[in-house]
Amino acid sequence: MKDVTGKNPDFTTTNWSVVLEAGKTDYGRAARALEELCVRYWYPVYAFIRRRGSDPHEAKDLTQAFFTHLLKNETLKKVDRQKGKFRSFLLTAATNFLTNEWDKRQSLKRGGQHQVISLDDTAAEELYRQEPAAALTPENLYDRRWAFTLLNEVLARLKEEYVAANKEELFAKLQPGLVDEVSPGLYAAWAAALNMSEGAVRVAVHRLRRRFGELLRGEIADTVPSPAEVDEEIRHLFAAIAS
Amino acid sequence: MSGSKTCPKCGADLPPDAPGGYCARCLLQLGLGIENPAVVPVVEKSGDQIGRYKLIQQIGEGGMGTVWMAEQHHPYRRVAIKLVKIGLDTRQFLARFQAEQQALALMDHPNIAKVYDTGATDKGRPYFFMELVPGIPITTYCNRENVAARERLDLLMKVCVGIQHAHEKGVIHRDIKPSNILVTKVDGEAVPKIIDFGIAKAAQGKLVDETLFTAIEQFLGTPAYMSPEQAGLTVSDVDVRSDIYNLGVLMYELLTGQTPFDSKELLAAGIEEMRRTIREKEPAKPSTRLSKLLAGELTTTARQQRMEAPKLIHFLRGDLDCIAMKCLEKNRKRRYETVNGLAMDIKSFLEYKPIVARPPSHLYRLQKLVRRNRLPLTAAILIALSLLLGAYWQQTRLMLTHLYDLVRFPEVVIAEVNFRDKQPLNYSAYGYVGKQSALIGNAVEETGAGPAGGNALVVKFDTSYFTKPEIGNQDVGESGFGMVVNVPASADNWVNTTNLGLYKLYVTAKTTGLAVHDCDVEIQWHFLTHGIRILTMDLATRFTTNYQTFSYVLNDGYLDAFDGGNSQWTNFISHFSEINSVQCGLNAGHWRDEYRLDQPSVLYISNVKFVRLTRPARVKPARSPVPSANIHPAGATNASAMP
Repeated sequence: MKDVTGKNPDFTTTNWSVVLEAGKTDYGRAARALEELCVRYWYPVYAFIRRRGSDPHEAKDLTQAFFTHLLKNETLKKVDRQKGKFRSFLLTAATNFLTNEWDKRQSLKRGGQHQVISLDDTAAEELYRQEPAAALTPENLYDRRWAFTLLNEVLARLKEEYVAANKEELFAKLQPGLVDEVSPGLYAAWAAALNMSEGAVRVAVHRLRRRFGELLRGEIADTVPSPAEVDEEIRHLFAAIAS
Repeated sequence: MSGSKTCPKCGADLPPDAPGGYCARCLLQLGLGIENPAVVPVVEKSGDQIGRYKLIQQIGEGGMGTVWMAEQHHPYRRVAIKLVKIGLDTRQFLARFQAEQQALALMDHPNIAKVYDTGATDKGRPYFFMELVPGIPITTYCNRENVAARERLDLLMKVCVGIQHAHEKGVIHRDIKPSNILVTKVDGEAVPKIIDFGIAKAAQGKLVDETLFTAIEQFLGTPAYMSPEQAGLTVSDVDVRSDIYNLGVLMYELLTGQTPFDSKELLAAGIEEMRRTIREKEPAKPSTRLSKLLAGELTTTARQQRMEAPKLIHFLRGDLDCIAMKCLEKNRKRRYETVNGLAMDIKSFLEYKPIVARPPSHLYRLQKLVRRNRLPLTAAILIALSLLLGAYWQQTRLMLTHLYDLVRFPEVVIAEVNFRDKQPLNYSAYGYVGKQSALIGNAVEETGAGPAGGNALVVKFDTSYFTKPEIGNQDVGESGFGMVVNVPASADNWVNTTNLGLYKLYVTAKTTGLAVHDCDVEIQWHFLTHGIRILTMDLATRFTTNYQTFSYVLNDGYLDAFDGGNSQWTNFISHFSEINSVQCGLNAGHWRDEYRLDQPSVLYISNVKFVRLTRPARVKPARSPVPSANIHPAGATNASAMP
């Protein structure tokens, strides 16, 4: 019998809930969980800081410093008092950080804070340039970016799964079906191209969508305190994208 | 943004940095499970491999997932696999799944299906292996095999033991219903196994999440089995007493074939009405429910429990009604506190002890004491007298129904008799058949306190008169109190040339039988009072005969047949509840096979009506001679004893 506390990664509790439990479990585990989340979602922070008025270089430094600060144990000790979502937590923390640490900017530039998270600052800036013009507030931008980051992450995971199952070709062919309506003619074309029956193609498309949905929910669940809040988060992100 | 496109599906903007080039909103929609339902494939199919197991056949589907039978070949093993439903949010139900796994890991009990191992498919779909239970739901089993009522209660007790084990481990099942209790035969014995602690909630221990119930999921359970607190609006504080409620419903269904509230009616009424009914409406008592069934349904139900309908109703009435209704109390504080309490009460009932569920009255307790005690008595006739309240004639008659049981030869009977004038030695016992009576014997001796202690007196009766061949026309006036026994008219039964000394007189509590036994002669009498039951005793020799239709017995499983033509008794061993009549032609062997008995017993039935104890009429100037003077081993006259 496998360890019921979840040695199998599929059974582990979500990263964010681990962080929230930081006061009760060992900080090492919580720190790792938080780090994992930060690795995924640093870009929205960068975008936020950038939109707040920093130039690219400053934004990079600040982002770096922020995460360094975040991943210290003292922060972890404060975390479990809030039961909110990771997204909100991160935004609040970043906001506070900017407020408090503004004047320490200079010393950060001078000092050599060791990098906990390596940010790809070039890529970050590239991405940022593609953001919509100043119509969005930093917070809105943060949320929007968050949504996109999330979706990208999930897409990447989905593709990974198919590749791992030797179904890369299938994925490549069917992926338009992820969001688009598929006409019967298209099903037929795909069936022919893949040497499958049309029925099997329909099933495959359905599975693709389902799996994306599952992974998406899983990814979101990783950042909310309880699975019950996943729907709410989706709706929030939905609204955030509507621009 | 210049050059931005729009999504053909939802019309939202499609910015250049859209994830993967897809419309972000549509992608998010996928997370909400808004899907075209037309293509819903069966994801697992027979022959799929999961780990070392191959799926054979789907055997069930629950709210959470599907259950498959699977096998592995080396070593050969068959198990059940439960898989989380695809399409449900894996993470969300992961918590629930994990809870089930966690809960089941804590339990190891013969009445709970074992969980062997857990895992995840390569798609990340969690599953676990559990013991494959080749059984059928408990209600189906009982009805198909015509399991007798007492044995159904035995099965129920086994279920209780399993549930109790789970409760002690901090796990509440929350979904006890017949389909979750499968009965299999292990070494010929019926063993119930509880499965699907699917929505079990650990009372202690860390679980991932508690708030997993939506309004719809609440009603995944069978509504007929739902407890009032489960049907309430807050589900979070369901405790062990909810399981007890469910067990009450199960008991109800096992004994009446119906659930307290009908499932179809509940569902048809709509969710709100269903809730209200479960939470507020009082169900009918099991015996009442039975009596209101249509004749055909009632007969079938009774037959499935190997009883005649009126007997079944009588069997349920009283204690079993109380036990079931105590489980079904709306206010859970009034239910049994533990499943153990319920099991103990059922056991008490089966052993003729007082139950907790019934408010104890003196009469009730006494009845139980009487029925239960198997007193090793001397080879003498004892009649315990209870100097109870000063009794009137009618009441005294009732007192006589409190008779002690007799189980084994050469034990004798005890009858409680209230002698108004507190002079038991003035009394005689008569046997009566038709309008004829014969003196059984005179009270000869007070031998001390009876088994009930305190208020009882024990009186020995001399039944040497029994040897009299002529029954004569003893006219016994009903001056005293007591009961009259009819004895078979045939003189053959009476003749006995040997010196018998004292007969052993047997009377049973709540019985329809009173028998006298010696080596050669068996005569049986019985009492005509309500609910009196026949007595059993061992018989060294057996008779076989062609018997005619005969009448029967009681409440607990003893049966014999009297062949009126040959004045012979046939010995049966049987153990079942009441039967009204038995067809001739069945031989003892048949019965012995069909019905099991814990210990060999012989049972007598007869057409004897009642026994009466009388005392000499006061009008006679001379009192009856001192009873001891009547004791002459041979040839004692009965004249002086006549009232």
